[in-house]
Amino acid sequence: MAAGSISYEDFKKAASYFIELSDRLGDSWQLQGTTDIYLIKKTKTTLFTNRLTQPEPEAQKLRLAETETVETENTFPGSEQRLSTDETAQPEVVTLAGAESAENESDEDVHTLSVPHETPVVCTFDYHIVYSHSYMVPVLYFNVYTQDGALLPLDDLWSSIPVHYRQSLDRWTTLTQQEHPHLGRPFFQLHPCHTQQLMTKALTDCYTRLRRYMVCWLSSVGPVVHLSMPLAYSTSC
Amino acid sequence: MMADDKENLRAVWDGKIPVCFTLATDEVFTAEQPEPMFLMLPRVSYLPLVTDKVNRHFIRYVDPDDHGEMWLEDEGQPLKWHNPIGVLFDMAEAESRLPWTLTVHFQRFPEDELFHCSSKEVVESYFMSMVKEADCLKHNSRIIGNMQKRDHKQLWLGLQNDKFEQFWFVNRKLMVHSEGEMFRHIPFRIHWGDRHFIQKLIKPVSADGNAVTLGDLLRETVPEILPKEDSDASSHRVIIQGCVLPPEVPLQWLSEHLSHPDNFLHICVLSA
Amino acid sequence: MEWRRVILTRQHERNKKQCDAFVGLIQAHNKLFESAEGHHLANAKLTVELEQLKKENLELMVKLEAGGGSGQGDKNMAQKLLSLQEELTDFHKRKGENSQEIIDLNKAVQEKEKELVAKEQKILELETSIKQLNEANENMEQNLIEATTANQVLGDEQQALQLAFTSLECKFRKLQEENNDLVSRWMALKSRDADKMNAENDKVLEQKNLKMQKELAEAAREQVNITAPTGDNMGALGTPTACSFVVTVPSRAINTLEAHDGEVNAVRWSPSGKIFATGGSDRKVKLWQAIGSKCEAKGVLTGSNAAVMSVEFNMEETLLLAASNDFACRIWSLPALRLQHTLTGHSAKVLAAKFLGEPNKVVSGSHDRTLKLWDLRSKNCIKTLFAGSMCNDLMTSDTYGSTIVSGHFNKKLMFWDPRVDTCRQEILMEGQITSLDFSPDGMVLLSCTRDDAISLIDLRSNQVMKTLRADGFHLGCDWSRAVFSPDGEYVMAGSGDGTIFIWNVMKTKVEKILQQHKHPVTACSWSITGSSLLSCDKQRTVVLWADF
Repeated sequence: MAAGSISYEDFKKAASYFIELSDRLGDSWQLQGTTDIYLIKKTKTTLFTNRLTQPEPEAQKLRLAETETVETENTFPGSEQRLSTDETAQPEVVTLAGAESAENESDEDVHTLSVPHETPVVCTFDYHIVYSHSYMVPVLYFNVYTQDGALLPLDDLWSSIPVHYRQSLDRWTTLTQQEHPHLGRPFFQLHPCHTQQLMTKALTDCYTRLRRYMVCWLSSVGPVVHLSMPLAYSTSC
Repeated sequence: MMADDKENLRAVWDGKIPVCFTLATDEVFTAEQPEPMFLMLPRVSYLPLVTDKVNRHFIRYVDPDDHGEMWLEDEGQPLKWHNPIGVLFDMAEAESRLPWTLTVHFQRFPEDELFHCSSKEVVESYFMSMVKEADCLKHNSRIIGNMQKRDHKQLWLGLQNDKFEQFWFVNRKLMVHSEGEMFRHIPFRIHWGDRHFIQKLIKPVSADGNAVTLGDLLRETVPEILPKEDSDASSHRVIIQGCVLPPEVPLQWLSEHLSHPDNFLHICVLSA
Repeated sequence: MEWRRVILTRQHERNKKQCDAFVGLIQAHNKLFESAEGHHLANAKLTVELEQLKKENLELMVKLEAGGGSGQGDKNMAQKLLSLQEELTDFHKRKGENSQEIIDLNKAVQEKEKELVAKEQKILELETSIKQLNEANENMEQNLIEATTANQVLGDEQQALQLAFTSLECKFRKLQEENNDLVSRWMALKSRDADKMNAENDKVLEQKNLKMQKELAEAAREQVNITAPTGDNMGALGTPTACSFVVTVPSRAINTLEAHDGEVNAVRWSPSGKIFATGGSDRKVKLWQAIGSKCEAKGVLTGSNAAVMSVEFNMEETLLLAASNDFACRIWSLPALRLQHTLTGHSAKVLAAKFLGEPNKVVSGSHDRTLKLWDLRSKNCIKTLFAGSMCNDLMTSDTYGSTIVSGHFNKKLMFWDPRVDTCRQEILMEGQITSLDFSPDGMVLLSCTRDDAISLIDLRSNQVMKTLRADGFHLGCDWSRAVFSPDGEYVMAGSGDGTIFIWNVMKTKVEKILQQHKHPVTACSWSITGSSLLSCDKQRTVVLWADF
């Protein structure tokens, strides 16, 4: 078994640890399912997004190109190796002129320009932590509903993600709609393909591995999708 | 050894379904009734990739101020575009009612059943996630991880543009396995009725070194559909790529040759 | 590896069934679909192109109108064009002005031509008149010459005649001398005759005186006691006393005569009752004498220019006064039947004229709403009395001073003193007054009114005493005259149907009805003798009524 991955049995253990922790800290995570278990949590969060009211196809395109550019300068943990190979593939994909030589500051300029004003929207987040047998890691599924019960569109969701994540993540590989493995309904999925590598680096101590696995993983990926992990989780486990 | 039965690969690729598109009558906004549209859709492709024309054709007949994403419906059932067309067709058991007549909608998108698909990138994103998951199962993400982005793109464009050679030029790398080292697990999904797909970790070689067959897989995953020992008559049909297959076919070969482009073996279970 | 084949076969079967059966069909359909789509698109494109071309065309046309050109040149051109257009407008304006001038000038020329034509016409006329005048002149000259020659001839003749005249004068003088001589001789003879006559007369007178003295001497011898009344006395009194006559109401028409042509307006017995006068529309006054049942015409008085409306004798029967519709009154002397006076001054027809009590004074009443007093010696109107209404009849009375009573169209009786200008008294009657008469004692005034009544007014109280009416009595005209009998016991009036009514005043009822006239009766008169009545009508007739 690879270093970062976790078996289903271990996941179950880790999950129960996590639920225990959550209960202790007064968080609202709950265990669901019998044979195939998963964890859920619902919270309300105010999102700031400029895309909720009016779609901006131009800005959208621009951002799309940027994210691809940004990915070439990836700072995502464990992707340094791919950096060199990706750069050769670059010209095929990137059409934005001068993107290759784009500096961080200019990128930021573009971002600040493309987010001129942000509207606060109260959203309900429905988080599910489901074990992926394929990847042998926990996967974060979630849906965001607006006040009227409609799903927050992907574009809005993406634009609500903090800028530094957007700069370092590929939109099309990070967030995809998937069928919920147990419910069958469409859910957004934070793609698990890098989870194993991440966890390999994050967890070295085998002794406390299962206890800390969930906290460690969730505090890494949660902030991307507005899932806040109080500091108490880290200090308590 | 790798996917070398070109005839079967080709037959999978060439599988097409005659489809008739009609606009939902309550969404016809114009005085003129739209003509139905006929297309031969590749079984291995995805609906959003091949329905641009349909969209362009029918969008002229709907209320320009009140229409959203296009979606398709078959006899009241919204079609999950993220499954390959062949799978949708087989699951709809539409073989007996050709051409397969689909209703086009532009309103009331059922977002608790279907994924939004605002652009082809969404399809690509989903497709690539499937390919990645498959490779994770087969090679622990080793091959896809080592692939260049250009290869990903080529894989995708091969599918999008219905280019068999272009696709297989990349896809065959994903199908490699050396003698003695088969796929780690077989990426498959069993679609059964209205239920959610079934996906489990199944190895192509059993612990005792024998090749695992389709029959073994079914026994392992969905034993309830197999004929009882006291009766010959099977209560269910198992269909892959529109065909009923002999149960003795090894999974490794099936995965290599009869998988969809997403590298998954989609197995449809239908009641007989 | 049998399953490979099986799978392949099954796949092929699948394709055969699902794919091959439809691929051709759908391809064909799609081809058709696309071509239809293509046509649609092409059509749309063409429509758009057409629109664009139309637009371009329009623009080009606009540009063309604007004058074409492009860019800088266009601007210049536009500027030039603008200036040219302005010039053009100027020219147009000037042209307009010029044409206006031309029009004005043409008009002036036309007027001038008209004037010219008129002048020429005039000239022509003048020339013809000159010619005519010349001709006339020539004629005149000719005439002059002729006249001169004629004059010469006449002069010669005159000379000759003068000579003859002189000679004749000489003869005349001689004859005159002879005549004078003869006359003086005749005178001498006459005087001689006269002397002889005188002598003879003297002789006769002497003889008469002698005879008378002889008779006187004889008479002186026999005793006679007789006092004879003198006629002179009666005449001086003026009003004849009727007591001596017996008034009888006649019942017979003893004579019917056609007196005038047309209407007979007036009839009047003379104060003595010997003659009577009639006046008619034939402008004549006729005098008649009734002898027994016969009426003899005694003379015709002419001079009136219109119908005679009334006739009146003076007491002495020496004058006859007639009022005429020719606005005048006339007076004739009687035995001579000569027109003595014509009294003019009224401005309308005169209905009545009467002698005033005083000698030589006449009063007349006219439709000009005045009464006029006339002096026959000065032949002047001495007074005009303004009555205010047309006068139909008037009467004079001496009984109560010198009084004039006039009856008017406005139903009023007016009493006048000739010495005063104003009306003394008025009495309002029931109808238009047609005639007036005094009773013989002068105490009662008869007034005949148009309401077919005859009122008797006591002049002492000025009260209507009696009113006489009768069935069938209807006045025929505005000047129908009614009269008292000479003793005042009866009143006589003629009706419109020709009937004469005679009322007994005392009894206030009709005494007698006389029928002879066929036409409306205009006037009547009762003789002083008391037994002879006269009446006249509108158709020539005068009837004499008497019982003997």
